[in-house]
Amino acid sequence: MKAVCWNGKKKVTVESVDEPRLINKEDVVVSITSTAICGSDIHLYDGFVPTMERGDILGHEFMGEVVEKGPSVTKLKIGDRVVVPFVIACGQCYNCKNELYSLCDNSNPHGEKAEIAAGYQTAGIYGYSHMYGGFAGGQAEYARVPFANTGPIVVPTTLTDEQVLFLSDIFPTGYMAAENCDIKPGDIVAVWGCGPVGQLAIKSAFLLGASRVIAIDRFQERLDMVRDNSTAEVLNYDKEDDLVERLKVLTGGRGPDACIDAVGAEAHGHQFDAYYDRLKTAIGIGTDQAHALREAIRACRKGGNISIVGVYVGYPDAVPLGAAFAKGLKFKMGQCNVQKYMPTLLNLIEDGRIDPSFVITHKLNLSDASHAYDIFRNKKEDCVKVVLNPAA
Amino acid sequence: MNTKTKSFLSSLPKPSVKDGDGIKAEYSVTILKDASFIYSVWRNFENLPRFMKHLDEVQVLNDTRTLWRAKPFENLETEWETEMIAETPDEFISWRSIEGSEISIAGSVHFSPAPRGQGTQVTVRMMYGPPLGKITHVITKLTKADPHSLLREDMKRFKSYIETGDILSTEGQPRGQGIEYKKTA
Ligand SMILES: NC(=O)c1ccc[n+]([C@@H]2O[C@H](COP(=O)([O-])OP(=O)(O)OC[C@H]3O[C@@H](n4cnc5c(N)ncnc54)[C@H](O)[C@@H]3O)[C@@H](O)[C@H]2O)c1
Ligand SMILES: [Zn+2]
Ligand SMILES: [Zn+2]
Repeated sequence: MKAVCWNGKKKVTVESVDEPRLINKEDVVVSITSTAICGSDIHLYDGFVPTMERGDILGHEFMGEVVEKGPSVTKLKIGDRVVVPFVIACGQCYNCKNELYSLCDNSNPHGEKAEIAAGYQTAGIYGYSHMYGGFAGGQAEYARVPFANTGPIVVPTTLTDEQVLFLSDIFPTGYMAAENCDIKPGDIVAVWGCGPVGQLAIKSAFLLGASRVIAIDRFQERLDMVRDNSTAEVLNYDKEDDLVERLKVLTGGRGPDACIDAVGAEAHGHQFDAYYDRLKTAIGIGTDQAHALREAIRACRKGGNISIVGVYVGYPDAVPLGAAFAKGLKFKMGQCNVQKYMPTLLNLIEDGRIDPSFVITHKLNLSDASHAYDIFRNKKEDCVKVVLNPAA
Repeated sequence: MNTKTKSFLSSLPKPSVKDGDGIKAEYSVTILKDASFIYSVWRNFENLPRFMKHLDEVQVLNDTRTLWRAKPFENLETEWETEMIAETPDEFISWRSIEGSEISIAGSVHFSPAPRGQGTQVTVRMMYGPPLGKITHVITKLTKADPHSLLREDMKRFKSYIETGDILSTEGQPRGQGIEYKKTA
């Protein structure tokens, strides 16, 4: 079959690889009908995530049809049309039982690497480095899906692939970002980053009762997209002398009640701290570029909430912990507990309350993955979200 | 210090590995199951190779003695006899290799309830005598792993085996070999 493989920094290739087979008793094999590229894949593409190996199959946002199943699979049958959550979770450990699926104890067979980095191992993720389990990903024609009783959700045929595909990651992630803001009626939420995750966080913040949302990015096409699809106010930070001051003016001097970081480890910026980050990363002594997070912390109102869904991997420098401490901020963050949100969000889609497919700008063939990564990474052709067709 | 902890520490087996000598390794995991269930799986020593990666077979000889066989790689097979030296049902088991074995290992496992319904804490302590028993030495050399990482891996596998009935693996999954995909007409 064909599969998108990581072959070093900025090098993804479509290769011929063996088809996956069942390995564990609770596995299924899915014949993939749609698969997407995520901002998280860009961190791999740019070489920000350690423990990647040449030949690793990428991709963690995919859906398709169950074509094989192991003897312990009770919740799915051959022929089911399913969306697969990007987090692999056993469903049996204490964390899974408490809906903290991304913290599953039993789904990362290479946890020792995560344990060195974080003290403890976390859940496995498809196509997301060996620290996250070393699982073959879903930018391919087929994928093996472990713990199939606690993952894939069956979706009705009345909904298209485009409508439900993002249940695999970015819709639940955007929703969790908003939920972690602990939104109360009247709250103002500011969102850094208007990529697919940021845009779904904006939608979710309104669904959860925010009175106003302020969206921040520098790409006009993304800001326009936000304006076309929601009632959020938009700020192009390239055109602001002082973003934090501007946010204060827009919020009666109080600051946003909650700030969402939907940018993560590769934040861009013009200020000195951003250049310093890039320099350190370039010469190999830095891991994360945390410019957006720094701004979010400074801008947030006293006693407010900081919700981080942008991915961080290492030791970001110069995080203004002093400011966070002085203002008594609350922090919530992490990989999304996808399984927790899937049923609720599928209902919202079925009821027509939201259609996450609005983020898609490009539908391409899997065999053109290398081009797809390039335009998404470099914001060419106004690219915001790519869906790949594995059949072609 | 409560009496339980004290008895746990002082009950560590010593005779086959002299105190102060050898290598110690300890590891603790919390498993979402009752102590009695977890205890019964462990106490049935024939189950051990299911999660102890380098162990091939454990054969029960009688009430307290077992024969452990390991084959860490082709052409090397080692076996040693182990005797259980203490046991408190649902709480504690300790064992050691019998005198004259070609390797000297002693170990104990302690089961205690975890707070807030989180299941059972399972703490294992191992001692490998000097010079490192032949087998641990070979395994250490082969896998470049120290006894602590080996124990860690086995305990993670044990927890997965108890909680999910299986141990997740990625062995045998596809990966890129540098063969470029060519579109066929
Ligand atoms: N926590 C999770 O479970 C989870 C899941 C999916 C994605 N993510 C992460 O979410 C982040 C966003 O993902 P995406 O798919 O939307 O990616 P994306 O790259 O399309 O979007 C990132 C956006 O941030 C903007 N940006 C960069 N620097 C900025 C700054 N200083 N201020 C404001 N905006 C800035 C970029 O212009 C871009 O539009 C990534 O870090 C990704 O890894 C996390
Ligand atoms: Zn993703
Ligand atoms: Zn779990």
